[in-house]
Amino acid sequence: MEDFKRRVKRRVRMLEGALVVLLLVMIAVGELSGRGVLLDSRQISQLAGTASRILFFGSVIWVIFRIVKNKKLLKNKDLLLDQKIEENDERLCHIWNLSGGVAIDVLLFIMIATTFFLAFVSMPAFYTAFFLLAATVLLKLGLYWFYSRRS
Amino acid sequence: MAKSLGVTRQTIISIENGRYTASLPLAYKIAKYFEKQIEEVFVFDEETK
Repeated sequence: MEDFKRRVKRRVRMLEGALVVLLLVMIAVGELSGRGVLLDSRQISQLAGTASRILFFGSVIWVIFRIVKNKKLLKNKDLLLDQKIEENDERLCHIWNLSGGVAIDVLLFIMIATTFFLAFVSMPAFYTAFFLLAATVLLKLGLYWFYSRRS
Repeated sequence: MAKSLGVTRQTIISIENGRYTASLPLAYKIAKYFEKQIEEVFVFDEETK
């Protein structure tokens, strides 16, 4: 149990680091758009603007949510045990592996970052990345749903 | 039971319904929980892939 507690503490520190990185990205994008290095909000399409906002603020909200949730786990032993069981549950690990495992999760992370940055660089590249991201998300969710119904 | 075996309730339900095949370590834990031998709790079906 102590091992898992240490893992959760390490996760909280990593998430706090991710939050700082996200805030730095927000400042950098604002600065670079202002200097004309990146496209500004008048030059990007409505879809690119909406998608980049959803990706960025969605990520910020997700990171904050995860920090709060993990800090709650550290204060409550029962919740910590439930979380440990859920994370180590062999059936859930099996379903996660069948639906792409770590490879598709890393790919999703890369595609979210790529799609976000391409929204400020090139519209054709953004649309390509956006539809590939949407396809990857649908594939992951579809496979997870399919295999969780089967096992 | 699920908690003492370190799995979720859904996993136990899936094993009971035959939708999920437990790993050997989990099968051992389940047999130990019931104080039985593995072959008394699980029946090997050769047609199951």
